[in-house]
Amino acid sequence: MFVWFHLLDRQVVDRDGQLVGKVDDVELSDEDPPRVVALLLGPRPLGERMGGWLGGLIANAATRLHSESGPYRARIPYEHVASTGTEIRLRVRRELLPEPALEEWLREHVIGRIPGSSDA
Amino acid sequence: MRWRVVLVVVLVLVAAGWVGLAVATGGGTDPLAFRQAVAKTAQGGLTAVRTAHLAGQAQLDGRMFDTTLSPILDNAVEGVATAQQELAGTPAPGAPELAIRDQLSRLLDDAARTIGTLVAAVDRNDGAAARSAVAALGPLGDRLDDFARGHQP
Amino acid sequence: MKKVFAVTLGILTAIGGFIDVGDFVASSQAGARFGMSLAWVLVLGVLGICVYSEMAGRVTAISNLAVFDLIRERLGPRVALVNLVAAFLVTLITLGAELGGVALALELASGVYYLLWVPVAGFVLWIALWRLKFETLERVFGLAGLTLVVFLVALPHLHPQWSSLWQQASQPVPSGSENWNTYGYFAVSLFASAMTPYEVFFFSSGGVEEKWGPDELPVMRANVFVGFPLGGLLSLGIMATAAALFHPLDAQVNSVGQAALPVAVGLGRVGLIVVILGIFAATFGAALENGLSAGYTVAQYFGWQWGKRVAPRAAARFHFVVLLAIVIGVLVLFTTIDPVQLTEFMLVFNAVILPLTYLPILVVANDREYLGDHVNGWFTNLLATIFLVILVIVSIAAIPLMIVTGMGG
Repeated sequence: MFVWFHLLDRQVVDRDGQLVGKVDDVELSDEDPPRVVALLLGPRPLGERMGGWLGGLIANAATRLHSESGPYRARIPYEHVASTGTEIRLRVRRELLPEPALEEWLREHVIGRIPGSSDA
Repeated sequence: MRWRVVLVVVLVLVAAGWVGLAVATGGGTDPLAFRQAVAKTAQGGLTAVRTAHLAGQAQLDGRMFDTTLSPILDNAVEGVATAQQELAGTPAPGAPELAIRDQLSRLLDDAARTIGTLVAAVDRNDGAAARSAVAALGPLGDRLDDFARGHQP
Repeated sequence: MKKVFAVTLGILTAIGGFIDVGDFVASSQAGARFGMSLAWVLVLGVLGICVYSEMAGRVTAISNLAVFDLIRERLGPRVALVNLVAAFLVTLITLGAELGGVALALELASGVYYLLWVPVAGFVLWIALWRLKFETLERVFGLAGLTLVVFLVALPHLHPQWSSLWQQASQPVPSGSENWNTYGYFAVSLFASAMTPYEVFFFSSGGVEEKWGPDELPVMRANVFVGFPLGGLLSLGIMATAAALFHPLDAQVNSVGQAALPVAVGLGRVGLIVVILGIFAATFGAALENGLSAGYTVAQYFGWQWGKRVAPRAAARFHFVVLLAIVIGVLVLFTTIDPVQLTEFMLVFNAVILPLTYLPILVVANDREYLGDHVNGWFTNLLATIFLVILVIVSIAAIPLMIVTGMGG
C-alpha cells in the first residue's frame, strides 16, 4: 500500500551500480490508491519535501545553483526502475540522466582542472 | 512549530551557558577564586619545571635530540610565563593572600630563570651549565610541589 | 596461507589505525593526572567500539550501505541533516586536530615551529588522498602506527611501581587533589577518544570501497575483535607510561612532546625516533580518515557518487568536499589555537554527537529487510543497548563537565 515509504531516502544506483542520488521525493498518480509515477532526485525536491525554513533554505539554494542549461532536479519515470530493495536499481545508465548542475560545475571548473583527475 | 520551540530552547541554553561561562571566568576577588587561581598557576609552574627537568636530564644522559628538546623546553618556558601572567592578573583579597601570592611569584620567577638558563646552556652546548641548571630544577620542582599540595582550593 | 596473511595484515592495520591524536592527548593527560584509575574507561570504550563497529561492518557487508546512508534512511532527511551538520563540523575540528598532531610530530623531529609545517602537512595530505589507492592509504599508515607499541616496550624501562599502577587501576576514584568533576571530564574525553564517530564512518565506507560481502564477515570480525582491543592496549600503554613518569611527580601533560618524553627516558634516542615516527603515522593516518570521512558523510547524505574506486572527475562533489575539509582544517590551525587544546575540544564535541551516530546503526542492525538472517542476536542487542545508555549519558555530561572544570582546569 504505502510503497513510497520504502522508496524514500534510499540510494538510487544505475544499471552498472554507479551512484545516482537519493530518492528525495516521489511523484504519485491521482488514482486511488495512488501509484508511484516517478522518483524525484535533487536538493530541490528534498527541500520541498522537508518543508519549513530548513527545507526552504535548501530548495532556494538549489534553485540558485542550477545552471542555465541543466535542470535542477531529476525526474526518473518509474518504468526505469529495475528493482527495489535496500537500494533502488535503474535499468538505464547514469549518463542518460540529466547531470546535477553542481557536479558538472565542480568537474569543469575545479576538480577536472587538477592534474590526475582522470585516474581512478 | 515544534521545530521552532526546539530551536528557541537550544538558543536559550547556549546563551545561558555562555553567560555562565563569562561569569565563571570573569575576574572576581573572592577568596575562593583567588585560591583556585593560585592552585592553577602553581600547577602550571610545577608541570613546566618537572618537564624541563625530565627532558634536560634525558639530554644529559644522551637520550634526547636537540631538535626534540627545544620544542619541549619552549613549551616549558611558555608554561611558566603563562602562570606568571595569570598570577599577576589575580588580585589578592587580603594581606594573607598577598603573602601567598608573593611566595608563589618568587617560585615562578626562579622557575623562569632556571629554565631560561637551561635553554641558553643547551643552545651554546655548555654541558656544565646545563648540568647545573638541571640539578637546580629538581629541588625547585619539589618546592613548587610542596606549595601546590599546601594550597589546594 | 594467503588467507592467513590477509587476516593478519588486516588485524595489524586495525591495531595501528586505532590510535589518533585524541588517544595521545586523552590517555597521556589522564595517566599523568589520575594514574591508571581511568584505565577502565578505555576498556569500556574499546568494548563499545567493538560492538558497534561489528554491527556497522555487518550492515555494510550484507547491504552494501555505509553509516550515513543508514542515518538518512532511518532518521529521515530533516533529523539526518542536523546530524550531518554536527558530524561534518566535528569531523572538520578532528581533522584540524590530527593535522596539528602531524605538525607537532614534525616539529619534534626537526625543531622547526609546528605552524610552518601545517600547510606542508595539509598539502601532502591532499596529494595522498588524490593520488594513492584506498588500500595503500589504509595499510601504510596503519602498519606504521604499529610502531606505537614502543610505549609498551618503554614501560618496564621506566621502572614503575607495578603495585601502585595496579592499585590505581583497581580503585576507580579521583586521587590526590583531583575532584569528581575533573575525573568525569577526563572519563568523557577518554571514552570519546575510543569511540570517535569518524572511526565508524571510515570503517563502514571502507567496507563499501573494498566491496565487502557476506564472505568477508569473518575477516571483518577478526579485525574488530582482535585488532581494536590490541589498539586499545597501545592506548593503555600511553596512559601507563604517563602514569609511571608524570603522576608520581604531580606533573600534568599539555603537549605532544611531553607525551613522547617517557619513551625517550625509558629507551633513549632509538625509542624517541620510533615514537615520533609512530605519532606522525598515527595522526597522519587519522587525518586521511577524517578527510575522507568529511566527504563520505556529505556524499552519503545526498546520494552523490563517492569513494576512491572511481576517478576524481567522476566524483567531483565528493573530492571537492574533501579538498574543502583539508583547507578548513589548515585554516583552523592558522588561528594559532594550541593543537592540544583543539584536541581537547574535539573530544568533547565528539562525545556530544556519539548517540546521533550510533543509534541508527543499532536500529538498522535489527532490521531484517537490510540484514536478513544476519540481524543482531539478543546478546549483541543487550550489550548495544547498555552502551547506548552510556553514550547518551556521556553526550549529555560532556559540555557541562567541560564548562564546570574549565576543560580539566
